[in-house]
Amino acid sequence: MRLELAWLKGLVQRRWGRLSGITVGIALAVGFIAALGSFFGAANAHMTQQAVGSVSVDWQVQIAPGVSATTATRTVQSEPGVVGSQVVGYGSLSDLSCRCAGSLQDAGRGRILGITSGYSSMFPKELRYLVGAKHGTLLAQQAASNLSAKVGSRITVTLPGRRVATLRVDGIIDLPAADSMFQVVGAPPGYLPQAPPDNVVFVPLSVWHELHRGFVPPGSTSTQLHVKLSNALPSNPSAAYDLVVQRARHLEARFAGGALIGNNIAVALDGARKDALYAQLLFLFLGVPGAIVAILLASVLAASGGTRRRKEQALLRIRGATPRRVLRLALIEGALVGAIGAGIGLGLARLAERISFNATHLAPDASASRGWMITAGIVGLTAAVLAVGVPAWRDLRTLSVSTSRATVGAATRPLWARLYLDVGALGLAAVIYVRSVGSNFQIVLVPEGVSSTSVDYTVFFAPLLLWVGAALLTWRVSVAVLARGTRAVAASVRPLTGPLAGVVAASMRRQRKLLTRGLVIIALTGSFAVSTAVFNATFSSQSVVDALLTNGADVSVAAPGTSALPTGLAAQIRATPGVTAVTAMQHRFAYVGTDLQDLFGISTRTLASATTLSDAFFSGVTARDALHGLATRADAILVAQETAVSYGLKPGSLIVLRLQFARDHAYHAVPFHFIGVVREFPTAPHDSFFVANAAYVAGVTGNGSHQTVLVRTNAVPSSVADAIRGIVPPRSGVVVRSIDEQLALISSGLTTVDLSGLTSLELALAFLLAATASGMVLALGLAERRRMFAIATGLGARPKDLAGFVWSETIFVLAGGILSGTIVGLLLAEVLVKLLTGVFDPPPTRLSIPVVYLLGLLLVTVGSGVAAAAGAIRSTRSPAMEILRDL
Amino acid sequence: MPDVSGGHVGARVLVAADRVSMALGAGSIRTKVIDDATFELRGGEHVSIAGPSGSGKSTILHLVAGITPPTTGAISWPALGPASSLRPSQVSISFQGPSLMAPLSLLENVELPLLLSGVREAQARDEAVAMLERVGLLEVVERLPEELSGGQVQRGGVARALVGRPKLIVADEPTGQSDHVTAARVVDLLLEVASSLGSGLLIATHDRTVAARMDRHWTVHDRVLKSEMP
Repeated sequence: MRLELAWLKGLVQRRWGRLSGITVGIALAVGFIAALGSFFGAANAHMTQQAVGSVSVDWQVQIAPGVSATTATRTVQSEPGVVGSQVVGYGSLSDLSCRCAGSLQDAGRGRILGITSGYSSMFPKELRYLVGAKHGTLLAQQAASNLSAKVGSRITVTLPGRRVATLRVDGIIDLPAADSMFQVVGAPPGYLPQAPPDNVVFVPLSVWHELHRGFVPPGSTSTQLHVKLSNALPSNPSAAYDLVVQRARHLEARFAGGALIGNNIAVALDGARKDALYAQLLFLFLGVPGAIVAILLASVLAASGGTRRRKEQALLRIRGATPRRVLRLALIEGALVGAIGAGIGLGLARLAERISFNATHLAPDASASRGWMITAGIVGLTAAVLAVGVPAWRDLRTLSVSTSRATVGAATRPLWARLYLDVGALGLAAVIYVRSVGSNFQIVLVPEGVSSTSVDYTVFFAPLLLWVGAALLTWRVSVAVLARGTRAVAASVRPLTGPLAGVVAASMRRQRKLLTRGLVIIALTGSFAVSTAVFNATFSSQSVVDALLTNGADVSVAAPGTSALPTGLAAQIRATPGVTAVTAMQHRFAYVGTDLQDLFGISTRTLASATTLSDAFFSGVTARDALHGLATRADAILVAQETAVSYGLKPGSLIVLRLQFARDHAYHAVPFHFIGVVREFPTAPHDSFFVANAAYVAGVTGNGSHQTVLVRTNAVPSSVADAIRGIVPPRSGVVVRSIDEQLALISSGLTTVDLSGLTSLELALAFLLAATASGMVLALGLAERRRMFAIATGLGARPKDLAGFVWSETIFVLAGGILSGTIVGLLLAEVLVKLLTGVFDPPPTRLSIPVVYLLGLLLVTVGSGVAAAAGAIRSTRSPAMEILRDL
Repeated sequence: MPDVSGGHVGARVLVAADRVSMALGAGSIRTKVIDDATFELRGGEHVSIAGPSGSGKSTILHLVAGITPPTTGAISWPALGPASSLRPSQVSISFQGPSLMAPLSLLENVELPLLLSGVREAQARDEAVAMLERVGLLEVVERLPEELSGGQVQRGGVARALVGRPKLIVADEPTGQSDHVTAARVVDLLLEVASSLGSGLLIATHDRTVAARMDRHWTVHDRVLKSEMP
């Protein structure tokens, strides 16, 4: 053991450069794996929390006729995970009317719901109080608008069976979750959603029972239990989904047909688990290569001291050390750097966690974080032991003592080069890529409502094989240039080396393995950095496009649901400082067959000035042509691709929709003429919708109200939004949102994976890797030749002669590495963006190039390389005495 | 003014040292390897330097060749010019250890001093080949140092030291790796080149037969140089 200790001491004192190089590589790998793993653990938990938080009522349990609410409540509340439940009575109204504003207003059919006094405290997001009291008779805002009713108005409700009652309005409310509140519980798969009712009245449950006492026509009432579940769910959305589905099924089984469950929380988690799978893929596609590069870098740094290590091994063996003992010394060295590197890496990961979690407002998931820390530590330790141990073991097995002293070695072609594995890998990558971007291919398959999900991990081989194949091809080209292009190399280095050009080119030819190793590792780190940066920039720019689409414009002003914006609001907004253009838009619902879709009524005159329309929003026509088409025909309509295909629409085809008319609040047929396909539209949902002329819609329905105003501004959008909030009538339910607020919402939202934490981690790692790769690989490579430079100095070489040697090699390695890294990085980014199209919303039409970051990367790569070369040149001016004495 | 214009330097002083000392390390581990040495070597003189291993012979050779400056004392090259212009054309050195540059062939190693002196590439190659022929290494000119035997490497080093026709030749144990016959050939060559050029020659050696062929003999013992004055 004394030898081992003495050896370690010697290594730390004399070979600290080599040791610290490997340690840095291991620390980066460990830090990156741990931080990234922990980040994804937190992102998963965040997605689950977001999904759970977005649901106002977790379960809606519809009780079958004949089952008592008390029994059902007892059954539900004994189910594990249930926190509480409230009984809600659902009834129909044949008519809702009011003698308001001096005349009789009749809103037509509606719904009447009975709720308990504790309902809104258990489900605070279900009802939003706008005006008046929070208890008693509460009228939905749309109904209040239809009836011109106010707090204190007396409304008349007609129940099926002609029972009539008059109620005093105590408060006006908004129903933010009307879709789920009025869902058809237990609807068969494929059932198309219906528009939630406008005319809704809420009364205390006791009043509701009183109104329905006695004869009630069958099917006109139902009772639901609205259930709140514990939010102690697994952090992974898929696991959480499975659990809530399993619990709901268990409860349905206990009811034995006595109840059906509307599993709202499962629907929300169903969406989140797709995002979680994409997050997993991003980890695989963007995170794993970073860790691989860091470990490779550590191995290359370990190998850069190979010549010296082989000599040391030869000396040990001459002095009688057995191969086993020599190997043990190498393994101890590996374990030492592995342990130190892992320790530093875990410290870095903790730091990165703090910075990135603070920046993204993610809460770390302690157990996931701990697991990743342990995994990363083990990976780092193993990688270090292998990086140092494997070359030592290989040399011990294959080299004699005398050949161990060789510094140049035989120029044999490696097996992969003889088998053309580089070309094979690139070919296979192309095949997988072409298959993957073909039609009907989905990398992530999450069938709605089905527990099982599927991810096609074979797709991962396309970028992996491209990366590996391109690195090997770079190796082949670099070796070929140095081996066969000695004349060309000599000619290109002549400006730096003068008459020594031939000698320098010959030296580079003989050291082609060493130089190529440095070049390839710079290419690998460069391609990782470029692909990551371009992918992330493209993702960010698509988030802006998404925000613009979702928000509609710099600032959007939207009425709640389909209720109208106050009259004259658009004109007031136009007069707000900083506003350059506004357009008012209708947002209605229309039936095409039995399918309910959103309909946007626009003004072709003002729309384009208030928002940005991309040609990519439309199919086959430009944005300008689409608007022109609408402007030239009053009943023109743009429909979604799916609708155009389903109904066999051709330009000019008649399409009949059903729209709600103002006169009777009933849906009536309205003819339109199809003029084109729309893919995306400001404020429109991702699925099917229509775009038509607002004037035409207003004319045929008798309702000219607008639901949205889009605003363009030349000032800070959030400031303009604040100013507009000041002119919006209080408690009107109108939502004003700026694009920057929307962007913040999207990047931490449920429908997209938050990449900002990953981005900052990756871009930081890429910077460190690039600096380490070019700086340390060159520095250690040049340090290995200090003896050669000392000899040259002894022979009379001047600093400028030696600088010629150093600069020629440095420029070759840096230029080759940067060129290959850039080309491969851009190719990789293209492949990643195409393969992970599902993560983009909407898919990008071209890559976004982060010029500033890439210039910074170039600067750090070149800067580190130049610093290493300058250091090497400086050290040649006064060779170390120990080297001179050794000559 | 020193004569640095080329050609014979006659019997002028090539190198003169006045009470030079050399110390290695710093602080408590600072060790003197040469103490207070005074010597002089003239053009045409052939000098051997002997002494036990570690006595400081190589250090004196490095001082003479201008590779390392002394810690104290003064050293000058009156007939050759300032220290910065000595190598490769005025002074050359053949190192004790295997000092051919690993990634260069034997021929490239030998032509290197010529190229460093500004000789044109074709001429440098011709002269290097001619010198390698004289040391009996013509057969192996394209080989890498790691493909040569220890003796061949040492002779390659000598060829590299002589090829530039220096006025002062410094050789550190040039026959240490050779058999007697080869050693004699190497010393013959060193003496022949030095005589033809009128150059000074300083050889460190343990071999008494080699030392006996020199005009003067220096010895180093316990860091102290004793130079036998002519």
